[in-house]
Parts: sequence; C-alpha cells; structure tokens
Amino acid sequence: MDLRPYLNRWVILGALGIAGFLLLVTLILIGWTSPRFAPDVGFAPADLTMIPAPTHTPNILPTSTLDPVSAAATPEVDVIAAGGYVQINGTEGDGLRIRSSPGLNADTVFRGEEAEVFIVREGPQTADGYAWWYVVAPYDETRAGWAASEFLAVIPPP
Amino acid sequence: MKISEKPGSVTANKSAREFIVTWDDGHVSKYPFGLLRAACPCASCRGGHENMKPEPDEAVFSRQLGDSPSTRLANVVAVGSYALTIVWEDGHDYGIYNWHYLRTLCPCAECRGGR
Repeated sequence: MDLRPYLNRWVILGALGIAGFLLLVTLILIGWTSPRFAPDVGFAPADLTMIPAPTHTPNILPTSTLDPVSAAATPEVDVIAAGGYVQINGTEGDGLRIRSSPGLNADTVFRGEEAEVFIVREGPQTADGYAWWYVVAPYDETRAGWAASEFLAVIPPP
Repeated sequence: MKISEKPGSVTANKSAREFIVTWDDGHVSKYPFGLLRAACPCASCRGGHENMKPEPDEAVFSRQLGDSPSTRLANVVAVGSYALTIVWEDGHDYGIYNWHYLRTLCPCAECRGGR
C-alpha cells in the first residue's frame, strides 16, 4: 500500500498537534490525581515548646570562722541513714540488683532502675566488702530489698 | 466525650521537670520526667521485644525516679505525625512515645481512676 500521498505537511502537523494535545491532557490528569503536599499532620514541631532549666549561677559564700561546737552539731547530709531517701546512682543505666539479704550471693529480688528512689528502712550490714541497706520503694512496698551503698546516693525527701 | 489521642500542643518544662501534653479534647496530661523515663517504651527498657506493649506497664506508675542524667530531658523530636522521641541527657533516645501510649500514660487521678 502506498502511503506517500498521505504523508504531506498537513498530515504531519496534524499528528504532532494531536500528540501534543494528548500529552497536555495526560499531564493535567497526573497533576489532578497526585497527592497534594499539604498533609494533615495533627502535630507539627511548631506545637512543641521547650522551656529550659534555669542556668545555675555559682553563689560564692563568704568564708566563715569554724566554730568547733556548732560544726560538730551540723548533721551530715550525705550520709545514708534509716528514714532517709536514696536513689540508685552510678550504674550507667544497668540498674542495681536489690537482694533478699546482704551479700553478693543473696538472691536478686528485682533490679532497681538507675535514678530510682527508695526509702532506707534499716542497715547498714556489711558483707562481701559492701555496706548494705534495706530499701523500699515509696509507692510499692513489694519493691524492697538489700542494696549495696556503693550505688546509692542520698537525696532530700521529695 | 471521646478521649482524644491527638495532641494540640506539647511543652517540655525542664525547670519544673514536667512534660505537658494538651490534647484536642481539652485534657491536659502532666508527666514528671521520671515517669516518662520509667515508662520508656523501647525494647531495651522493657526487657525485650516480647515485653513491648501498646500501653505502659502498670508498674511504671509505682516507680519513682529522681533527678539524674537519665531523667533529665535533653530534647524532643517529632517522629512523623504519630509520635515523639525523647532524648535524655544520658544519651538514651530509643523510646518512641506514640500518642496512644502517651495518652494511656497520663498519670492524673481522672485517667488513673478509670483503670
């Protein structure tokens, strides 16, 4: 079949015009049906407010003359004592084994978490080179046992 | 009224050591930093993947964590639109707290009374 009579300038221009029109229609349809970049995030970082902790300004206290009488009467605040509060400290996130009795061979009752707060009930007892205190969680009496003082830090009552 | 699990605003108050979420239903949840850390939902803190649950353990409410690098909030990062990651000063940042988890972690008497 001889197609040469049909391949004239007008046919070619017409074909190009139709192809361009179809391409334009396709692009418009893709644009309409693709998702818009306006997500319903519900929460955006702008909704987050960070209130910093106050910066600590060192307060240089005047030097005072030591009065041996009053100095002897000053209670030691960093000493573990029954009735005081302690928190687990220095375990690097591993927590501390709270044991059923003083000593490293005693059963582990549970593992206290780093920074967990306890009330000291009794002690100390010495075993295996450590001083042990019987501690109880403030809100859970069942969370109690003996803890090595090496990993306890005295804190003020909450 | 239906409980919302969509937050309106989130405030991390390092001074008061408190994390506050205001929900779309108007409820305000105030989480002490110690509670948030005790309830960290990551596999490591929960003791393995098998212990990870969509809601916090009841035990975290009876645990009191004091001030230490592990309970000092360093940063909060949005995870998509569904959760937050809290970066603690000891470097721990594995916990992804989604809105459902945070809503069920609300320690207020009203929310705790319903459990």
